[in-house]
Amino acid sequence: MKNQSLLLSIGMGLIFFSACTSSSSDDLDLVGKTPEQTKLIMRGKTIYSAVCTSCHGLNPKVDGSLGPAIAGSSLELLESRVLFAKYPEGYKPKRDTHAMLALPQFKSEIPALHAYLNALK
Amino acid sequence: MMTNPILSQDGLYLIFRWIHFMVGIVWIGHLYYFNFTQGPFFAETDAQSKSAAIRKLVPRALWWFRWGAAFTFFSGLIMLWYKAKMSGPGGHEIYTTTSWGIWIMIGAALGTLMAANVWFIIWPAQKVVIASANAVANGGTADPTAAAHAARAGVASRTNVLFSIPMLFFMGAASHLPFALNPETSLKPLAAAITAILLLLEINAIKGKTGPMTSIAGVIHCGLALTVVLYFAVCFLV
Repeated sequence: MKNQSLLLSIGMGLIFFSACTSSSSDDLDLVGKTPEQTKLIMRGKTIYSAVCTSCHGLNPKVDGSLGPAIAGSSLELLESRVLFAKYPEGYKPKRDTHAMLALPQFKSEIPALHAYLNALK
Repeated sequence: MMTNPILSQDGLYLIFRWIHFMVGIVWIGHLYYFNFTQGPFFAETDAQSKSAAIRKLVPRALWWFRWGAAFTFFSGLIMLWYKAKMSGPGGHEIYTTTSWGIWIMIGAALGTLMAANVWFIIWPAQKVVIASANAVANGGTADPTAAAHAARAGVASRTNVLFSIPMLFFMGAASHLPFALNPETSLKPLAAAITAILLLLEINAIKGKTGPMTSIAGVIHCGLALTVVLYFAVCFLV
C-alpha cells in the first residue's frame, strides 16, 4: 500500500509538472495575422507535432535527437528536404547526415509547415 | 557541458513513454507467459502441481499482470493528452487530422479493450479459480463454476493476444509510418468499420469461444490477419 502511494505520488507529480509546461502556442507570433494565416500556422503546428517530432523534437527551435533545429526554415529548404531529401544548391547543412528520407506525400502541407516554422518567436 | 535535455518538453514526454514501455512490457510479457508458457504447462502437468501453481504462482503473476495493464493504460492516456497539449490550442485536431492520430487511436482502442478485459473479465474470473483451488487444498469442495470461469478468462486472454499484435503495429506506426491526410477527410466510415470489427471480437471475448485462436500458432496467425485487415481498412476508407 505504501509503495502504491509512492508510485501514485510520483505519477501525480509528473502530471502536475507536465500541466505546468508551456503549451506551445505561447511561443507563436500571431499578432497581425489574418484568420487564414493563423489557421495555416496551426495546421503547420499539428503536422509538425504529428510527423516531424520523432527526429526534430517537440521544440523546432532546438536540435532534435536526429534532425537539427528547423525554426525559420525557408520554403526552398523545406521543399528540397521534404520532397527530394536534398539541400538547395549552395546550402550548408547543419547536420550533413542524410538521415531524413523524402516525404513527398506531404507536399500539400509544406506551406503550413513553412508558416508555422516562421511564426515562432 | 550540454544543457539538460530531460528538463525539456521532449524529456518529459520521454519519461511518460519510458514508463509506458516499461509497464507495457510487464503487462504484455505476463500475457504471453500465460498464453504461450503456462497454458501448455497446465494442460499436461499433474493435478497437484497445477493446484500449487494456481494457489502460489498465478496470484503473483496476476498482480504484475493487472497492475501492468492499469499503469500502461493511464500512462498512455497521459501521453495522448500531453501530445495534444503540445500541439497548442485545438491540439485535439492532431487525433483526427493526421496519420499519427489515426494510427495511435486504433492502437489505443485495442489497448483500452485489452486493459478492460484484464480488469473486468480475466481478473474477476481468475479470483474464482484461485479461491476454488484454495478451498480444495484446505479440505473443502471445489467451486462448480470454477471451470467455466477459467474458460471465460481463457477466451478473454486469447483475445488480448489477438489484439496485442495489431496494437503494437499501430502504436509503432504512429511515429514511424507517416502519410498525408487531408484535414477535411471524414473519418466516420473508418471509425464505423474499426468499431464494428473490434465490437464483434469483444463480444466474442465476453460470450464466445476461442475458435481458431485455440492454439498458439492459431492466435498468432489471427493477430497477423487482424493487423492486415485493420491496415487495409485505413488504406481504403481514408
